[in-house]
Amino acid sequence: MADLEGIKESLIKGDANKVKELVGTAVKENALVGDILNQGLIAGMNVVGTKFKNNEFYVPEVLIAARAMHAGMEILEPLLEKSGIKPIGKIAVGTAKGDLHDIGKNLVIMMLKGGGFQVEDLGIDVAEEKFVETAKAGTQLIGISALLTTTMPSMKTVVEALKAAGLKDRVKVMIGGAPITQAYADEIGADGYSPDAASAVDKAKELLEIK
Amino acid sequence: MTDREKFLKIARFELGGEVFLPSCWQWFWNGTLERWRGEGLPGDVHIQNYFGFQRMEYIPINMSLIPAFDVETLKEDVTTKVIIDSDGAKKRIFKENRELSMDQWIEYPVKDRKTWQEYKKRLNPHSPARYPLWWEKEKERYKERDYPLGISVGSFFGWLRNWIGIENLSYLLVDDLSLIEEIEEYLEYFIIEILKGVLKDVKCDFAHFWEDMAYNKGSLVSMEFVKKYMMPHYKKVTDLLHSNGINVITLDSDGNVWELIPFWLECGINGIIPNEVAAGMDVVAMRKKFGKNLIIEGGINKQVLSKGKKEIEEEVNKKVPYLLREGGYFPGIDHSVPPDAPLENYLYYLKLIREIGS
Repeated sequence: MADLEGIKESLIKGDANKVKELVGTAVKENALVGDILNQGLIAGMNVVGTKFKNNEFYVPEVLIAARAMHAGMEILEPLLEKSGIKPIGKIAVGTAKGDLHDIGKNLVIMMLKGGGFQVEDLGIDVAEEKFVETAKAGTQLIGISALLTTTMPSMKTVVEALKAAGLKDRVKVMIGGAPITQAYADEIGADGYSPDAASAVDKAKELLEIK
Repeated sequence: MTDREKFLKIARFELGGEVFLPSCWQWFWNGTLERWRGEGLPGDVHIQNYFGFQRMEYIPINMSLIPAFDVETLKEDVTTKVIIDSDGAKKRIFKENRELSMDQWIEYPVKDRKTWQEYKKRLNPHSPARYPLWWEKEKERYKERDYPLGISVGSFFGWLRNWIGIENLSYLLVDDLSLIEEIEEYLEYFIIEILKGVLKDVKCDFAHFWEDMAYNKGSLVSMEFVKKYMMPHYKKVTDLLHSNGINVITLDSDGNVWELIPFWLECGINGIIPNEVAAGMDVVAMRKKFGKNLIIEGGINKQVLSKGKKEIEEEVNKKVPYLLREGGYFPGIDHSVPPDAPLENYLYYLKLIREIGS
């Protein structure tokens, strides 16, 4: 019987080799791909996210766990489509125009992937046109990260561009980063604000009404 | 009272109610100064003099790589270029107004044991070029000073982060822990050897670590990491500083450092700058929690400077009178003054601070 609990625990510990080994064994034993994903990898990342929110885990523990998740996903990814498993939502994330700093954005992407989302990494210094383009292509939620007060105003520009393109009702906007607050999100008309990478998963689920 | 005496008395909580704005701890983006020149800031002045800051100096000991890497451009587009910087890191930077964003680190110079062995050849503490030119004469000049003189004492996290990267550093914690230990051991040796060479000849008033090891949520690394890999080395450095009569030991870290402060205090680091408000730092609450064990600099929210006089008054009045009264406080904005702050507002902020002090 597949050791789903072992996958989960090994992921929490950040043991990429063990995760890879256990996922490989589970697949050979014909365990359901959805079970390996949800009860093993995603369940593990959920624990990591909770520990991160509670300050029991810090950035290194999250990065090590994300590497272990990636090791397991390398085996599972080719099997997902065949098994009819779809991501729980489509998200695109980029740093605000003028912002090259990407550590926060990368952490958010890792956590969102760990939460079961399909995530498009739009990269750094992303212009509003690119956010609009991805919204037109079917992205359900746009995430924007800014490190400095100087790049915050471009978040407002994205919200306005989405409105101008008639897309604001179809796509949600979630923002975060060091200088960002809920008040700022309210001020610019963003749908949500996340104070940290782990909370971004909860906020995305809330905004997309995913139970 | 000289500036040197005043600085030390404030730092030792022996002088309350006095304003001392250390010239080295007031920061501005270039874009801010450019804007202000259009608003009346003369272009031909030293801003430290113009704003009336008090003189403070660091001994110009070079603690970076010697020789530094040649800065070279690998490729460029309209707005950015990819460079190898003087630390050997591959980065994407903006061609203009670089300071308005942090660079994107693409590749770090230290990847493993082999790259570290090569890298540390540039960290010889005994390189003559670490000392200023005409050092023998410079040492004599310092004896006559009437201003506070400090020495930078490096870093046990910030350097690792810049040379290895937080992601690779995290993986090394699992894959090759002994390399982290080896690097930290070497940094301790490097810092202490440099300090010994300077402190035998010059009596400093303060020492200053740089870490930048937190973000808005808190520390980047766990307290276990701090206890195991940083504290023993901090203690060796602070022991040396204490034995040379240096008891004002400050540390610069952006971000939310609440959780880290007790560990730093335990190591003899007793001053924190710049205390970013947006990251959750509250200098009044810090004073209440840590009392006279902690010297505080900064903590005035940079974001109010772009608002009105009323907001500046509120921010200054709720913090500065109390902190000045208690002592151990050096007023300052909680990082560089951003370009959205009008000169008029910054001058008003300084006027308020000085009125409170008088």
